[in-house]
Amino acid sequence: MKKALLLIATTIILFNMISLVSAAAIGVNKGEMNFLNVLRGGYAEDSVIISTDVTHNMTVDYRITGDIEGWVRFEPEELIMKNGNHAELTVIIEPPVDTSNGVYEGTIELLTSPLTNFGTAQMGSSILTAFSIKVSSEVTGRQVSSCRAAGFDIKDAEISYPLEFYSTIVNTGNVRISPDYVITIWDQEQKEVLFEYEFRTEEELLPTTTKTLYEQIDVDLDIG
Amino acid sequence: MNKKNVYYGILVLIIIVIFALLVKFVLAAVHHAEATTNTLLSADVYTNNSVPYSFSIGTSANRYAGDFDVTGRSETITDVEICFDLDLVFTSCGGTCDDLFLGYSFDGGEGSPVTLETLSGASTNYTDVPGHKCHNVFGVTSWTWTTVTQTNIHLRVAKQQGGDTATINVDYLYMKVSYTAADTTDPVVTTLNYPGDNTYVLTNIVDFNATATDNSGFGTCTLFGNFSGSFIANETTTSVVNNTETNVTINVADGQYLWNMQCNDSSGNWDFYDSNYTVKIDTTPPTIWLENPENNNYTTEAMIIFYFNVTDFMTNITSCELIVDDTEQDSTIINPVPEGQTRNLSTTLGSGNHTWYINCTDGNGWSNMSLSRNLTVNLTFPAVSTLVPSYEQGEQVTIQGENWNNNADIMINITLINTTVVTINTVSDGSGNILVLYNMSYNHPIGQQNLSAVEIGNPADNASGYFTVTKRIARITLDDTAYYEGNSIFIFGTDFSPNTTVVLNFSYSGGSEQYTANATTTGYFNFTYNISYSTTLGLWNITAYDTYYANLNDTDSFTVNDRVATVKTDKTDYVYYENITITGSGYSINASVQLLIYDEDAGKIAPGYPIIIDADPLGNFSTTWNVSDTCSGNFSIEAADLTYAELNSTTYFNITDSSLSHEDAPDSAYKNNPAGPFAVGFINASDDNYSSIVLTAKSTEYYYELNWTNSFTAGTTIEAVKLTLEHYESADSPSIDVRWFNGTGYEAVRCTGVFTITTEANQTCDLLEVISTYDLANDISLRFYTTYGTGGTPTMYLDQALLNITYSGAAGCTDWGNTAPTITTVILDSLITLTPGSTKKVYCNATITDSDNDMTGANATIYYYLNESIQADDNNVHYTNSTCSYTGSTIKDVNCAFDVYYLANNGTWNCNLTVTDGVYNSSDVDSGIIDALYAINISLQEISYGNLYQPEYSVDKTADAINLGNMPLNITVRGFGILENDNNAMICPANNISVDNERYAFAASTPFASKAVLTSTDVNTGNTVPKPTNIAVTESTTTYWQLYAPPTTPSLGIGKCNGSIVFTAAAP
Repeated sequence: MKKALLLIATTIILFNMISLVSAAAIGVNKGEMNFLNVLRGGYAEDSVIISTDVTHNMTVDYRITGDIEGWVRFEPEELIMKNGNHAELTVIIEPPVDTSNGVYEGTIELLTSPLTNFGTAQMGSSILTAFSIKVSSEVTGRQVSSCRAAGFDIKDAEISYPLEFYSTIVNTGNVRISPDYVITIWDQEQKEVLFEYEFRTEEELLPTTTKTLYEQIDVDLDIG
Repeated sequence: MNKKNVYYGILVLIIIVIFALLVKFVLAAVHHAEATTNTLLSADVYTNNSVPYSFSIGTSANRYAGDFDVTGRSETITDVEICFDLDLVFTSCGGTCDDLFLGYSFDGGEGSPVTLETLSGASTNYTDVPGHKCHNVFGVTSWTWTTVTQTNIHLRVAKQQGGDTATINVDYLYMKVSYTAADTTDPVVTTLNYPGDNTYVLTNIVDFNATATDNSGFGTCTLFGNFSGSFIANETTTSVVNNTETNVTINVADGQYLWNMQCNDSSGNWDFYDSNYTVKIDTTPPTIWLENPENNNYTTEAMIIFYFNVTDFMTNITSCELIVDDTEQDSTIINPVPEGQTRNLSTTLGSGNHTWYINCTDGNGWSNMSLSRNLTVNLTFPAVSTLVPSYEQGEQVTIQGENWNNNADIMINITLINTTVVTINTVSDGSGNILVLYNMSYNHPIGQQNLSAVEIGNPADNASGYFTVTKRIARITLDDTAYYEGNSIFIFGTDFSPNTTVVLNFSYSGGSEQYTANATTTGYFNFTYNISYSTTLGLWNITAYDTYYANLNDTDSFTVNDRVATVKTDKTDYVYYENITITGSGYSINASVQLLIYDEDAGKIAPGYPIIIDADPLGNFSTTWNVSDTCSGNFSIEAADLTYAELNSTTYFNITDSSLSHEDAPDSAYKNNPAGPFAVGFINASDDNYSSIVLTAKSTEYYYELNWTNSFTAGTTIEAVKLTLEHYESADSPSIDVRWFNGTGYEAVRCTGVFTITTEANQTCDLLEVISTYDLANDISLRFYTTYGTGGTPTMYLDQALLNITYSGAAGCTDWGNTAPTITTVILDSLITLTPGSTKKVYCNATITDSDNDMTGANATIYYYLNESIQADDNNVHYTNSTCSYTGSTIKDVNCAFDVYYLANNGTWNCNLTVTDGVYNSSDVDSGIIDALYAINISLQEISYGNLYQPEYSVDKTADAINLGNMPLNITVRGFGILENDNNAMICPANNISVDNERYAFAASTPFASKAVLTSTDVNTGNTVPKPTNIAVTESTTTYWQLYAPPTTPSLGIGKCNGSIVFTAAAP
């Protein structure tokens, strides 16, 4: 018990110290991003979750260096966050059409704001914290059309009601796609095809993006 | 002749002596029956007169007249002669003798008699003439008895010379009249041959033909008829032959007449045919008057009706044809065609000039055609119409037109039935066609709407038409008329306006509800109204109306009935191991129904219960439960809808006392010859592995001993103890008796079913008589004794043996005890993002079935996948929550929360959740991922160097770069005054301090010159801050900072100098 109390006390002291006198902490869940097989003039995206211990709203600036400078943009363009409110930043990379094939590198620096406005010191330096994510982008001229779908789910439906179909699809290629779906419904013994339905995703799916698909299917099936 | 003779002659005194001798003939008529004519006796005053009548020629003419008496004569005169017998003597004839004239005359005509004979200049003596001198005058004059009596015979002598004398001696002077007897028989007109009675004659020159007979010669036949109005004689023919057709031909005008033929014989007899015949003279064709269209008429209609009137003088009209352009187009279909009234025939004609007339034919085949008329049809006039004649409100009206001038501006006016005029201007196309679409609203006036179109600037080109607008009738249809609470009402709406919002107002006793439904582009909608499971019962009304067009509305009604949930068993009493069929109805659609089987006596819930079963879409369910060996008593089944608590029901049933039994082979066996144990198999697994005892000594008891032990408890009732032996003996002489150990010794028991047998068999007997209680049944020892008293050494063989004990009561059933709570699902947060330098609440939750509702606790651990659930907590890899919270009764929600530190390992973690009721535990595991966390903080917000003079060095200031995540970090630093890359360390009021005057080191007391120079670009410090592993121990890198205030010109000035240092972390 004594050890436990000591641990709690130590933690409280440490947290107070951090929260009262330290700079703004910044945390991310990725140390690097690798974009493979990005088509010239194409599109790729990845996301990073950012967290901080700052209790008030703080702006996080982006700073891009290296070969990829000028190819990268962010969503959201301006990130304001605070403690307990993790933010997801989408990093979008769009190599120009005239980019040579090859591997390009750079960094994305996520920079906190100073917590002091040049403080009280007569002569002093404000401390800023940042995290630098290494970015590697392989640019290619070869189109790759590929996707991966999962999470197929058809909800139970009352008779005469449409079936609700769900699926998650990931564009694992480097060109935008509109995949076709073919849904075949068999009887329980899988001997007879009761219904077949085809549809195409209406919205194009950009490379590296994930989308949850929903489709209502009008069917006339018996109870079962 | 010379002049002298002429003169002389004149001078001659012509003495004409005329003897007029009137001789009356007394005729003795001789009648000839055959009507032949014979000479009649004649007579006169001088007949056979012996004294001739004589006279002398004087100076004047002498004349004699006769007067014949024919009174009473009626015969037919057949010949007439005037005869003489005279002697003329000229006694003095001075050269030229006088002439004698013989003649006759009739009364009043004496001055110019008809000459019979003249005698001149010579004496003449006819007395010698045989039969007298006669002159036949029958053919000279038409003789009747009247003329006969008026006849005068003349004798006249003319004196030529004065001295001449002459004497005439007349012996006979008479008329000889021949006659036949009178004919009084009428002729007979036997037939009127033709025309037949009531027949038509199709010419005006008509032959009337009859045949007549008569006994004598015919005179004439005369045609009688009313041809001129009166029935009179018309034409007479004398060419009549007895019994031969007599023809009279006359010209008769058209018409209907009566006719007959009268025939006369020569005696004046006559006859008509028995009856008059009717004859119809028809030479007249039908007369046709055309009525419409008028001659040279003009029409714009293709379908034309032609009107006419027809009559016929004598007969019916059988048919009329419409001839247009010399081609028959139509004909009448009724025969006869009514006359004297307007009839019509019709045809469809194309544009152009046409000539038409009507041709009719009467019953006698006379045909006639009317006058021809001209007709001009013009179908190419401008026209305006709609594509179809009728539209429904809200539809699009297609207005079309043709035959307009090409590319002309056309104004179309639609005059609505409410007098509103809608004007649409359009332009005809290159073919003179127009096409306009008129969109009607859904509340457009209904009825006939008039169309007119006119070419702008050329009003002569215009057209009109109309179309009809019918009411659009919106309807709602319900899939049923009566529902139960919880049912869904499927409402189908049709014929509302497209894409409209339809308001559905549900009204019921004491309230109403309103919803909206969106119609499709065709005005159709589906709406599902889910009736609450606790709603107003009774009659409900629905009103649906279109929010755009209030006229599109409909109403309907339905009934909501109370929904009563029930649960039933197929019967009320069950025995051990019987299946109970449990059915429920009236639950919510596809409901999750909690089914609880409850021991009403013991107050316990059946093991494994409650269970959740799914109702079908009708709210029904069916399941079974096997009673198994549940002890008897009173039970109930409660079925409760988990969504709608009011839908629940309980039913009751009984489990009655029943018995169980079990069969066991002996636990041990023993025999006394040879003495020792042996094995006895279970009877159903016969292996013919016999144990045998040879009875080697007479009157000696040999036995098998078989022992059974059981564990029946108090309250168990033994109902039967059946012993079965599979045995045989080599001879039938031994005797067998069964003995039971009663605690003190082996007591013979009655077991008549077991006896000596030489062929292997299963023999059975019931030992309940002695083994009657549970404690006796728990320890049973039986012996099977065999003895023999005769010679030989028979053998007793025992193969199998068993006891079947039937029991009931406490040991015969199972009382429900405690059941473990079971975990349905465990869910750990799938992706856990930690918070830098802090904790993150992580949840591991579960759903539990706690049939007994006696769960006493729940705990869980979360641990890194390379670790175990059962180990000590470690903030890096293991956390424990021993007191998870939970709520609910038989179904519980368990909530286990963990405060996971920032340093917890990145990777897969498991959650092992355990629940307990104090006796039984249940556990289950789920996995999630703790994400990587690269987090940095600096121990200072600002490095303060205090006040420095120029030139002066500050003392070292420390700044710790702290790792607040679960991943190692590389640290870089850079500095700037106010803007990145400004190469300043600080900006001062009057000057700046360049960046190289601010330096850092990783070791304390490092001289300024040895410290690393701060730059405007990132410089890797070369230090890696490891992942923290202990929240009490900070993983950090300490940097020592020093500032040099260099001499500057101008000086830095008075005031604050400030800059920025960026500590940047990165993955190593």
